[in-house]
Amino acid sequence: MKLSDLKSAFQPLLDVSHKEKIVEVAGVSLTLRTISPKEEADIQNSLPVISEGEEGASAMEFVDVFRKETLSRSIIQVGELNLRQIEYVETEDKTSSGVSVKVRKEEAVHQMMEGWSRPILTSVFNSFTDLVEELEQELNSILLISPSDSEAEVEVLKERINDIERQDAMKKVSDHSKDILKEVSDIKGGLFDEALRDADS
Amino acid sequence: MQTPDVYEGIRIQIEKGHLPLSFILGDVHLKFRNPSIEDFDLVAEISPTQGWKQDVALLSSCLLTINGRDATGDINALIDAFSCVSKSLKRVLFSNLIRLTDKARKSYVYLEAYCYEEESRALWRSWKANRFMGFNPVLHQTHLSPLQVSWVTWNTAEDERLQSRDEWDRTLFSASAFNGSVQKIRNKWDSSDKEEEENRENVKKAAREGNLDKAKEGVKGQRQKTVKDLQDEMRRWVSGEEDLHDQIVREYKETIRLKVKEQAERAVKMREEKIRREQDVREHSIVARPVHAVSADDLRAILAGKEDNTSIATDELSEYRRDVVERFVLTDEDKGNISLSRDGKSLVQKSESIMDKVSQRKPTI
Repeated sequence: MKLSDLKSAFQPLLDVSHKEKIVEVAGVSLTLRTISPKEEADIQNSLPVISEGEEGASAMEFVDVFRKETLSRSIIQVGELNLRQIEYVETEDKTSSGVSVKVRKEEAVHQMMEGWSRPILTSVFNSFTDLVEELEQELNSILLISPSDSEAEVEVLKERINDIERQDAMKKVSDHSKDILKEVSDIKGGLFDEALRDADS
Repeated sequence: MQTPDVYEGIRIQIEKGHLPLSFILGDVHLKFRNPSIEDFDLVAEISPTQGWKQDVALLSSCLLTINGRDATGDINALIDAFSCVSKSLKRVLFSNLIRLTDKARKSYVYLEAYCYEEESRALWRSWKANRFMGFNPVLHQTHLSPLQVSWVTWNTAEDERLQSRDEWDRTLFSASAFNGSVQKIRNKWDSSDKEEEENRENVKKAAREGNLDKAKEGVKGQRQKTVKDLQDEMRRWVSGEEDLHDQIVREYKETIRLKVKEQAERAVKMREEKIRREQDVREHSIVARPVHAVSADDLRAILAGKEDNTSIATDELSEYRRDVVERFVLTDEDKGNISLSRDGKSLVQKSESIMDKVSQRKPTI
């Protein structure tokens, strides 16, 4: 089979295997897409190692990095800007010879998300996990496997459960840090919260 | 209740060389085969460290057709293509492929029992018939899988065993009249064959009852995962340590290697038994000691040599031969009482002389 034939043979599979979803964030529409195995591996590679000692802080950092790295690969359109086939994005910076500096698409989206508050990041990430769940259900309904294997089915479901438990664990970490912040702010009469905001600004 | 066909996996693997797996997604039909040890070695070569790449490489290596079109060949193009499907789809494809590997491994357990079944021998005869007519019994295969090699090896050894038994029966037919030790060997062989038959029946019975599959693990009680479990899981997930899939692959490789080794040992054992029986056949076969024409002088020389021999001849065949030689070869020819007349026209009975008659008389008191 020629490469062109292979690509055309695979295209329907790619079309069916992915799913897209549009979400609104502060008046801007973002299009999310499910990720590929390669993108998942890139996400894993970019994650920091969880350290034993400072569990709370590093776990929070881990969760933030994971969400941003995932979304930077999942966002394929921002408003009218289509990023689907784009690998590099031009920045406003120029080299000494006047050529625009380019960054990878993921890096550009990552930079955009740096300005997002944690609730926005959490909300968009939740939309992504919903999208994955919808795709899983769709695949379950249309995919025919012969011979079917109940053990494989159980295994896929277990992995899916692991994913959900991982997301829950991340949510717990997120909520836990929120609680700590609330407790501190209650004790200090809101002074700590203000100080944090000052530091942010 | 219908009895499960425990030999299904082994039968398909012998006939096709692999276990097939099909996915139909919309208008796309993907057909895979179960991975072989060579596939696992290849994917480890393609990416020694990246687990996700090994997964998609394994899918690429085992893909046979897309919508009926041959998809084997350019593995790198397939890796690129599978790298772009969704993680969810890849997970379903890969999990099923790995389970197929486990199924192939488990069916290996039934190979020995299947070899003992008449169905297996019938299939072997059809293979030989195909080969005899110049056809390849396995289609679309460049080489036999380890399981097929094991099956062919066993059947070849079984053919030889049956052939040596047949030779023995013929030897027995011609040699038993001359040699008493034949019966002892016959009893030894019969006992050995009976033991083998009993063993085969036991293995077949255990297989049909599904008791051979030691690989089946009891369902372990599930408990709620603790935060520590989740952290460990996360660490394994990030660092890419051995998971269930890796475990299945490792077990598959170990089983195949073990079974190939066991099969080789079994073949050696069968060969040694065959050699022993051939030795028995050679020692007692008349065919192995053909009759030579010898003159009366040669015989006298042989017997004279035997008389000089200080050893004691004990076997019955030598005694018998000596009797035959003395009675029919060395004694003077008895011409009888009847002869032709001088003119050659009439028979004349030899008349006994008076002296002869007298000499035969026994005096009585």
